[in-house]
Amino acid sequence: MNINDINIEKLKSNPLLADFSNVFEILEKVQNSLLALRDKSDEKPLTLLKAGSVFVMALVGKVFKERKSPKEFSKSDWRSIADQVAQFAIIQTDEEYSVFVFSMYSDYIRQSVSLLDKKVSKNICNKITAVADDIDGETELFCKGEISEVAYIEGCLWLSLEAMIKLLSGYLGSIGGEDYTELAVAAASFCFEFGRLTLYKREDALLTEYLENQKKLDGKLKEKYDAYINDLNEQQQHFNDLLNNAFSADFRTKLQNTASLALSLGVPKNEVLKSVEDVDDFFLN
Amino acid sequence: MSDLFKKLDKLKSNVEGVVSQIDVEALKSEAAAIGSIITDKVSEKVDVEDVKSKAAAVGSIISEKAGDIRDIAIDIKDDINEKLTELDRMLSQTITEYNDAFTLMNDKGLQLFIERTRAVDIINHSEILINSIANHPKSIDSDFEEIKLNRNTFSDTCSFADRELQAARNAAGGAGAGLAAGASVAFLAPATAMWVATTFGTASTGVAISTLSGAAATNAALAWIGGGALAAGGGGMSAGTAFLAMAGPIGWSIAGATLLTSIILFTAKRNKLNKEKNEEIEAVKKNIVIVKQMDAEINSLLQNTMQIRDSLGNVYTQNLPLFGQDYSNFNEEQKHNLGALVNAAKSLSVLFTKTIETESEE
Repeated sequence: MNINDINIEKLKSNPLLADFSNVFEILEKVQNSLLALRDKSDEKPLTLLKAGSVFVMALVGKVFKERKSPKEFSKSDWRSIADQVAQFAIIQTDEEYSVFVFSMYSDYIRQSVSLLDKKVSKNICNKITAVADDIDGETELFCKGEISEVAYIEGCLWLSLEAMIKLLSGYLGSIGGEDYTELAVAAASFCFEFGRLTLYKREDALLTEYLENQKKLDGKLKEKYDAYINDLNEQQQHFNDLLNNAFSADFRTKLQNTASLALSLGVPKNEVLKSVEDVDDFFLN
Repeated sequence: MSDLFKKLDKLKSNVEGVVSQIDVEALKSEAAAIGSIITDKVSEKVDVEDVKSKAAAVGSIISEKAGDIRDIAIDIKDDINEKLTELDRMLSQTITEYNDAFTLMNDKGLQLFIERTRAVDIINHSEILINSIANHPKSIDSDFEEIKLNRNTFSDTCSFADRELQAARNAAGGAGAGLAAGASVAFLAPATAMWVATTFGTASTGVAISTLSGAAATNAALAWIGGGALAAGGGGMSAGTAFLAMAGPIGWSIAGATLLTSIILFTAKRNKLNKEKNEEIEAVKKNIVIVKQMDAEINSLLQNTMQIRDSLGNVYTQNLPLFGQDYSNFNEEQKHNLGALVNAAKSLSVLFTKTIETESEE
C-alpha cells in the first residue's frame, strides 16, 4: 500500500464511487456544519455532521484494518461504509449517537496513550487512561438512567478535553525529559481546571443574580398587589355604605341616597332623580 | 596592467604599514584572557539534576493546586445544579399558579355573565312598571357584552429542557466532528502519519524507526502503521480511532480545539436559555398579579351587581301596587319610592357597561 494514494481527489475520481456522490457531499459539508450548529436549532445540520463524521471514521478504519488503499475498494467495500453511515449516523437515535461518539473518544484516548507510552512515564499514562475510564463510567451511568443526557454529554465533553490537553502536554513535555513532562502535564492541568472553574463561576454568578432578582421582584409585586387591593377595598367600602343607606326604610332619605348611589356608579347627572320635582318631571313629561 | 601592479604594490605597503602598527603581543595577551574566561565559564557545570528535581517538585505542587481547583469546581457545579433546579421549580410553580389564578378569574367572569343575565329581567320588569305610570315611554338600557378574557401561554420547563438537550446533542455532534476532522487531517496528509510513525514507531527488529533512514525507515514506518498501531484496536470505528491516534499531537490539537469550541458554544447556549427562563418567570409572575387584580375587580363588580339587583327587586315589589295608576294621585312617599325605583334601575343598568381594565400584559 502506498500511503500517498490516500487522497480525497483520488477518491472522487474513482469510477466505483459514482453511486456515492452524495456521501462525498456530506464529507465536504462536515466543517461547515460544525459552524452552522452554532446558531441553528433544526436537525438537518446535526444529521449532516453525524453522517460526515461517521463516514470519515469508517473510511479510514477500513483503510487501516484491511490495509488497502481506497482506490482498491470494491463496490461492496463502499457499500459497507455507506451501511455504517446509515447505522451510526441516521438510524441511531441522537441519544445512541452521543454514546457512540464518547465511546470512540474513550477508545481514541487509550490508543493515544499506547502511542505515547514510550515517551512519557507510566504515572502520566495512567492519569490519562483514568480519564478514559471516567468517560466509560459516565456512559455506564447514562445507559442505566442515573444521569441525564445533558449531564452525560457535558461531563464527557470536559473529560475528553482534559484527556486531549494531558496528551498534548505530555507529548510536548517529553521533549525535555520525564521530569519536565510531569511539570508540563501539571501546568496544563492547572490551566484546564482554572479555565473550567472560570466558566462555572460565571454561570453560578448569573444564576445567583437571577434568583436574587426574583426575590426582589416578588417583594415589589406583592407591594403593588396589596396597594391595588387596599384601594379596591376602600372603593368597595364606600359603595357598601352608599348601598346600605340607599334602601333604608325612611322614604324621605331613600330618594336622595339612591341618587347618590346612582351618581357614584356613573349614571349621567341629568338622568338621576334627586328631588320630588325631578320625579314629577320624569313621569309627567 | 602596469598601473594595476603599481596599485597592488601600494596596497601591500599600506597593509604592511597597518599590520606593523598592531601590538601583536598585546593582542595575544587579550585573546588568552578571553579564552581563560570562556574556559572558566565552560568549566562551571550546570547542576542539571538540581533543575530536574526542582521541576519535579514544582510539578507536584502545581498538580496539587490543580486538584484543589478541581474540588472547588465540583462544588460550584453542584451549586449550579441546585440553582438550576430551583429556577425550574420556580417556572413550573408560577405557570401552575397563573393557570389556577386564570381559571378562578374565568369562573368569576362566567358568574358575572350569569348574574347580569338575571339582572336583565328585573330591569325589564321595572321598565314595564314605570311605563305603566309615566305619560311618555321610558327606556332603561339593559344590553351588555361578555367580558373577554384571554389566557396567555408560556414556555414551560419541558420546552426549555428540550432546547437544552438539543444544544447538548449539537455539542456531541461537534465532538464527533472533531474526531473526524482529526482523522481527515491524517487521512488527507499522509506525511503526518509517516512523521508519527518515524517518530514513535519501532521496527520489527525492535529498533526505533527514528534511528533508521531511507528505504528502511519508510518500510518500517509503513509496517508499523499497518500493524503496530492497530494492535489494540478492532475493526470498523476502532480502526479509525487507531489511525486517528497516529495523528498524534495534530489529532489531539484538532480534537481538543473542537471540544473546546463545543463546550464554549454549549455553555453560551445554556446561559442564554437560563436568561430566557428567568425572563419567562418574571413575565409569568407579572401576569399572575394582573390576573389576580382582574379577579378582584370582577368579584367586586359581581357583588355590586348582586346587591343592587336584590335591592331593586325589593323596591320593585314595594312599587308594584302602583302599576297602571294615575301619577297625579300619588302622595309624597309613593313619589319618593318611585324615584328610588328609577335611580336603582339606572344604577343596575350602568353596572352592565363596566368592563375590566387590563394593564398591558408583558
